[in-house]
Amino acid sequence: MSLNKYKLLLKKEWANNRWKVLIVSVFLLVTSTILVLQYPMVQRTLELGILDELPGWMTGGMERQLNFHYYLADGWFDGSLAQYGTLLAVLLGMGVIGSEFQDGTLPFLLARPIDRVRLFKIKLGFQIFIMVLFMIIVTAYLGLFASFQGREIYLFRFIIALIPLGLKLLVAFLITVNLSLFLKDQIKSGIFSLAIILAFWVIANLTPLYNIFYYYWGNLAEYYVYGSFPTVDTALLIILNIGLYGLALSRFKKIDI
Amino acid sequence: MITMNIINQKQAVMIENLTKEFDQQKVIDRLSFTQNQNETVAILGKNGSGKTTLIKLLIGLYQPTSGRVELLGQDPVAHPAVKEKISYLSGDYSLYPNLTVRETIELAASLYNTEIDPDKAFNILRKEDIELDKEIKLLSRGQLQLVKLAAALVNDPDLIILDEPTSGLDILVRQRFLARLCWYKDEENINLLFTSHNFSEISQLADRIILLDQGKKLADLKMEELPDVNKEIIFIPQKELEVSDLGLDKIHGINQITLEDNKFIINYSKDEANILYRLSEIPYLSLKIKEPDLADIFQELIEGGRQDESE
Repeated sequence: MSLNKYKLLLKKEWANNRWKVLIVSVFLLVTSTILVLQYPMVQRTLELGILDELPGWMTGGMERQLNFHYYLADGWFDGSLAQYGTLLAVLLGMGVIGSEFQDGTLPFLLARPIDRVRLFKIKLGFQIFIMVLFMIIVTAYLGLFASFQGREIYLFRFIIALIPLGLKLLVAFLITVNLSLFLKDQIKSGIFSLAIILAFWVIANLTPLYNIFYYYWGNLAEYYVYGSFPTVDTALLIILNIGLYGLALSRFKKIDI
Repeated sequence: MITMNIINQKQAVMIENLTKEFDQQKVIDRLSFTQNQNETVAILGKNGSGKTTLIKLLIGLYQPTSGRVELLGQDPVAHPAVKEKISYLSGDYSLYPNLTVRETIELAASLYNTEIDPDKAFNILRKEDIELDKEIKLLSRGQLQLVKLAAALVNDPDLIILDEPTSGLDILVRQRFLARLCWYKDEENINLLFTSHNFSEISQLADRIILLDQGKKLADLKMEELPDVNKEIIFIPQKELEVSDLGLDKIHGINQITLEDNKFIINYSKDEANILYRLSEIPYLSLKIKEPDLADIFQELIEGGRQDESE
C-alpha cells in the first residue's frame, strides 16, 4: 500500500482532526507541567500527617504518593493521560466514519474503485497513528520536563506503560467507531461513547474489575514502580480490541451509504 | 463464454430482478432493464419512487437484497476493477470543504488503481474559470457541480451514472451544466444513465426514458414515443423591450410569444437551450421556466406504457 498515493486522503484526515489533537495536547502539556511542579507541595502536605486525621476510606493508598515515581505514574498513566487520552480517542473515533456520514462525503470516495476494506484500514490506521504519536509526544515532554527538574525517570517502563494504556484508549476509539457505524452521526456516537465509558467508571466504584478505564485494570502505576507488567490485562485488551475492530470492519463492508 | 462477453460488452448496464428492501419494505421491486452502448437513459420518477436507491445500488453504495447488476458487462461487486471506467455524480453528496479544487481532483485520481493524469480535469475547470487553488467551501453551488463533473471525467469513463445532477441549480447554471455534459458525452462517447424529476433535463439529454414508480418499472419508452409537451419561459427584462428585441425569431421550437407589462411569456416545445442562451445575453430581472405538470406527463407515459405491455 503506497502511502504517497493516498497522501491527499491522509491530508484530509489530518485537516479534519488537527484541532482536536492540538487542543487536547495543549491541555495535557499544561497538566504534565503542573503535575511535576506541584509534587513538592503534595509531598509537604502528606508529610504534615494530614492523612492520619482523615478516615481510612478517604485516604486509601494516598501515602504511596510520597514516592515520586508512584505519584508521577498514578497522575499520568492512570490519571491525566488516561482521561484526556480517552477524550481524544472518542473525538477521533467520531471523525473516522461518523463525520463522513454526516457531511455526506463518503460517496465521493466509495463510488470509485477503492476497496471498502482498504479505505477503512487507511482511515483507521491513520487515526491510530495520530493517537500513538500524541501519546508519545506528550509523555516524552513529561519525561524530559521531570528530568530537567532533577527527577529520576525509569525510561524503559515509562515507554512500555504506554502499550496497555494505548490499548485502553483504542477500546474507547473503537467503541466510538462502532457506534458511529450504527448511528451514522458523529455527535451522537461521541455522546453515547462517553456515556458508556462514564457508566463503567461509575459502576467501577462497585466492581472495579469490570472497568478497563479504571486503574485497577492494568494498574500502570504499580507496573511503573514495581515492574510487574499487567500481562493478562494487556492480553485481554488486545482480544477486546480485535473483536471491536472485526465488528466495525464487517459492519462497514456491508453498510448502505 | 466469448459469445457471452461480446453480448455483455454491448450493454452499458444490465439489471435483472433487482430488489432492495429497507425494514422489509420494498423500495426497488424486481426491476429489470438493459442499457445499450451509446445510449443515454433517463430514470424518471417522482420523489420516493426509488430513483436514488437504484443509482446507489448500481454504484455499490447499497447492497441489493436480491437480483443482479452488471456494468459494462461485469458485476461491480465481484469485479470492482470495472469501476475504473465508471463515474458517479450526484447533486446530493458533498466534497471536502477544506481541500482546494486541485486537491479534490487529485484525491479523486488517487482512488483509482490505474495511473491517472489529472491534467484533463484541470483543463476542464480552467475553461470554466474555476481557480484550482480555491478551497471547495468558497465555491458556488454551480461551480461545485462543475468540479464534481471534472472529477467524474478524470478517469476517462465509459459510463457516468448521475443522480439528479442539477438539483438546486438555477436555470442558467443548470443549462450551462447540461450543455457541458452533453458536449463531453458526445465528444468522448460516454454512456449516461441519470435520474431526474425534471422534464426539460430529460428531453435535452435522454434517448430513452424508464419510468419508475414505487420501485417498479412502469414504462420504458424511446424519446420519439413521448407526447409533445409545451413549456413556458417567463422572462422580465430590466428595460422595456419589444418581442423583436429578444432575437428569438430564428428559433424554430417557439410556438408563441406574448407580452404583458414588459413580461414575456414564451411558449415552446423544443430548442430550450438556444432560447435560454439568447435570453441570458439580455439583462433581466427574472427568468423562470414553468415546467409542465409531471403528474400529467406521468399519466400519459403510464398509459402509453400499459398499452405497450398489453400489446
